[in-house]
Amino acid sequence: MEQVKEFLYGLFSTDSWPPRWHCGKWSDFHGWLYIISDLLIWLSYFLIPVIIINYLSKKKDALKFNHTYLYFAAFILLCGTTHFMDALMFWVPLYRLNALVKFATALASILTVIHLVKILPAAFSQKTSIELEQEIIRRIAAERQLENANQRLEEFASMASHDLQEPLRKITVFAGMLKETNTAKFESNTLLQIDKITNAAARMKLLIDDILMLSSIQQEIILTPAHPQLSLQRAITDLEIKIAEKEAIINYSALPKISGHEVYLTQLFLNILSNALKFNSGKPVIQITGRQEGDRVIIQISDNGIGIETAYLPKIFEPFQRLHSKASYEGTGIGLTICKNVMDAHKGKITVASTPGEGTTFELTFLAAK
Amino acid sequence: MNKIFLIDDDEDDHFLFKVALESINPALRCETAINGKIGLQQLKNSDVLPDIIFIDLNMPIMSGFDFLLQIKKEEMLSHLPVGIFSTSSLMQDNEMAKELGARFFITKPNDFEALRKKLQQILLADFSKAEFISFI
Repeated sequence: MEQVKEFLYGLFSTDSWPPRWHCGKWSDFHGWLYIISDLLIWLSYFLIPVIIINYLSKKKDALKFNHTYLYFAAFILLCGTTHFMDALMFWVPLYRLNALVKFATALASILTVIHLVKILPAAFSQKTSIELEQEIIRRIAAERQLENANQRLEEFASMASHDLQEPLRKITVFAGMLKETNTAKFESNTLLQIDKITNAAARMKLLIDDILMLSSIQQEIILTPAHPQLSLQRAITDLEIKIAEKEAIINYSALPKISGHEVYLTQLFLNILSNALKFNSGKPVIQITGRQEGDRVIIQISDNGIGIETAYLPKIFEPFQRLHSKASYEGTGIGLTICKNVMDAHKGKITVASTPGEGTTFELTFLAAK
Repeated sequence: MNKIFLIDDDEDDHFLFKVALESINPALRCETAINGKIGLQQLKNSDVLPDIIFIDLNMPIMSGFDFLLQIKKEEMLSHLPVGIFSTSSLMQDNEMAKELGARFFITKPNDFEALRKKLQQILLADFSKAEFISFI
């Protein structure tokens, strides 16, 4: 302990030793080679930590293992100091201070080693920037493939629908002509069979039209401020004949402006309203109301139709889900899927609530017009 | 109107089209071509130009849309009224045709009587004044 005390008290004392120039025999060349090399090492060991700290402070949030950079900076800085001390000793023999600086450097080196050993498993599990770049390239390629596949699918659906329409139209037209020109000649049974051909072709046409519509709804549509009321009125006009047939009553109040696409909106109302007209055994009464809530607009369409069993509700927006036989209610089972896709394209949503025997309410949530 | 030109790759449709025209007015003359390129060539070589051109959209070699673009470049032909006669009932196709200078758009109907009626209306239209006519 005495020695330690004496060491610390005389930390800056230079009395006990000669300066290094006088300790042994140095030629000028040898001495200056030693000194200049030490000073250059010190200079670079001082600048390296400055660069490390600068890098760390700028990239702080993007880096992992921030502590490691600090350990390295301290360790290198202290190493540099020992070299500076070594050069200084040629004139000022601060042997005690030098020993203390070496001790500090030793501590910093050991701590750095311990730290490195601790983080090693985590560091090994890290992806290097090259590995990350490769991963990014792989993901971009995968995304591009998916985009291509989606586009091909759309093109396929559209082409298939068009090409399916052609022969179908021929079946209908020629069956029609066959019946027309031979009504007098054919037996009633034969005429009935021709009707069956025509009806089957008409059903197929409905199906193709719906698939075509479904595949043509792009998810990246341009939304502009739109009056849903105009689209609703257009849908009502299109359904005039059915409305008159069913003696339906359609009530609607003023609807707030939304961020939308008019052609798709008309299709949306057309599908929901024609369902409301179709699935009703009496005189349909359809109520359409709209309200704004913050940046959302909610439109509700309620009917007094036959309703939907709770068990089927989760499935009704899936394609080709039909809850009734063709004989009781015609339809393709795609109508509500189209509605769902239209709402997705509008960044909105569609929900349904229903009580069997009382009616069904569809709730559409849109973004309000900006 | 007495000379009509139909460009369509579907021979059945040539037949139906001609039968419909004949039932409207037996004096009407109708010529046909099976794609836009052949149609354009036939028009350039013909002595008597048609009064109206009906063209399908999906055809090999030169589609209906391409034809609309090409005929605009022909000084002798650019004034002729051209309209679409196609299976398509898509609004996008309708808009596109209008933009490219078509004067009408007919979706091929599913029954003969409807075809007859649509053709009759198109043939009665005065294309020096008429707006774009759309029968989807």
